[in-house]
Amino acid sequence: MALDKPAIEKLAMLSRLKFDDQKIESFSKEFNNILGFVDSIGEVDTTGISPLTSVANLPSTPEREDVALPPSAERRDAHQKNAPKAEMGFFSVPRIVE
Amino acid sequence: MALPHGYEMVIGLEVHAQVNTNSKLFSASSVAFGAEPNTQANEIDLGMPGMLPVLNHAAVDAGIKLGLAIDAEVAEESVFARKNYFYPDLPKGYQISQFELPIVVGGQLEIEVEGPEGKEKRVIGITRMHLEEDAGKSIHDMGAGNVSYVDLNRAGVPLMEIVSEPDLRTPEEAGAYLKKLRNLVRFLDICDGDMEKGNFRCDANVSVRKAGEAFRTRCEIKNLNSVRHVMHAIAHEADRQIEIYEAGGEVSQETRLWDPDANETRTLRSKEDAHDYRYFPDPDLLPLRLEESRIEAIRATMPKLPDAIADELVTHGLSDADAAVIVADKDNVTFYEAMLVEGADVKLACNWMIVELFGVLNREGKEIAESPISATQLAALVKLISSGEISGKIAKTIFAEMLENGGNPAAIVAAKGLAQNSDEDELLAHIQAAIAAQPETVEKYKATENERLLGAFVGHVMKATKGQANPGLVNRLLLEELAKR
Repeated sequence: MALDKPAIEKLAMLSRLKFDDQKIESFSKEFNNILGFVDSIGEVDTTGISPLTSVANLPSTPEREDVALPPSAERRDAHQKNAPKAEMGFFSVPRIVE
Repeated sequence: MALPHGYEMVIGLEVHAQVNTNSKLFSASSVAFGAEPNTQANEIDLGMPGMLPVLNHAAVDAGIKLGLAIDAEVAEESVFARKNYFYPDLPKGYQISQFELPIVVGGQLEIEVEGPEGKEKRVIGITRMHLEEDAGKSIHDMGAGNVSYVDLNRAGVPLMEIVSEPDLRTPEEAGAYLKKLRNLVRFLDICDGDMEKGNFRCDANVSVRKAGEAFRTRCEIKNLNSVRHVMHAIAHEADRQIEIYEAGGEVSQETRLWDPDANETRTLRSKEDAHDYRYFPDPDLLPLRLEESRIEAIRATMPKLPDAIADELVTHGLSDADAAVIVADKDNVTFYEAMLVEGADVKLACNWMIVELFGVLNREGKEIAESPISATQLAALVKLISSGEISGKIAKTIFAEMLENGGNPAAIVAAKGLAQNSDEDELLAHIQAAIAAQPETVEKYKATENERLLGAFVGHVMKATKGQANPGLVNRLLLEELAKR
């Protein structure tokens, strides 16, 4: 598998990132080096082995009882100190047009 | 209604039903409706670094219940996956959903629709149901023109996405399927089915084809928040596609938005800018493996479901149609069963509920939960009829009074002197007077035995008793008297 320029441009678009052509060129090289390294895994014969989605040795994903925390304006205000902008309890973001 | 040029519709529905848990799918934040913005969003919901999701046991149980109720396979192993996209109401940059291995696979719902020869049953396939978290909510029209506000109280709320097979062929079938599914989740007590609050939402995949053809390109319609909107939007979308084909064009695959004010669908995004979600198993969560014993324990506590209740009501003497009306809504069943517990007659209770009470509620656009007359009060009225204390006609007068001013039917009977008159001596006197006053009618009756002629005598007695004469008793006494002449 190789990552060409259009593929990197698409990934950048999906990730909301912008790069100039030179950067894309160097990324392409780096990505393909990484992918080439990972490709060596493909040499292992996995016929008949089902896909592994986790290496943790538990019978199933842990579950919690359905108990709710009360709402908290204090906690919200503390969180919103980390936000670039918040108003009236809302996170404020550049206008979304879709 | 047939479509022009021999087309038929092919419809599949995706329903998002909010599981009625107390807390979110992967965090302990409350899901209560109407809280102050962002007061029910904790570090996990906000996607803070280092936070780990932990699955809500009750949401898993709800999924198992739904799977059992639609005769589906509840998967021994299902896997949570990350669905990646950027949007301000999705703080993590991905939604935790299920992709390749959902918790419920297969299944079906039987619906009933009006066919050319009356009611017809159709089985609609269900492809899958998976658990996923909801996104937050963006508000665009509150602040300055260049900002949107984000409330993450809804982010992480558990949803069941129920995907039907493209088995539906008309808007009416789609409507019947949605109502049936909504009713089912309410009976199972896993979702409140409130479409206005967005707790039961629907997207529709619509295409058209000529009978016998393979499927053509479909469009997905979003923003459908009532059964009526779903049905309208599907009909309009099918018309739009047929027009394109008939003009020699091609329908392109896209997501469209229903605009109920303009009565049309319009493009939201085309296939070219469709999201590429780059699903992969969420490394923060292990596969969900369900023990057979857990599934069987839930099976053992499943409530009685609408179809089974309807069958039971029919064995108690109700018609199929009446039973279907009662089980069409969980609140109807609760009301009806409460009437029976009070000792009301099975059939009379049904008639008074679905004819008289529903007549009034429909007129006023009310739900049964908002009924001005309680099940206990309506049962009391029905019992007065069964015991012969009042006639059906008087009962309607009392019913009107109950609607108007409330109150207990027995008290209204006493206060207004409306009790049925079953005094044989008094009624006989009225009957004899009626016969004496209409000798010609007596002659005619004796000659023809035409029962319609009896009405003249009964009417006389009813007038004399202000409508309170016991009709059964009047009939018997009248026939006896006439036989003597």
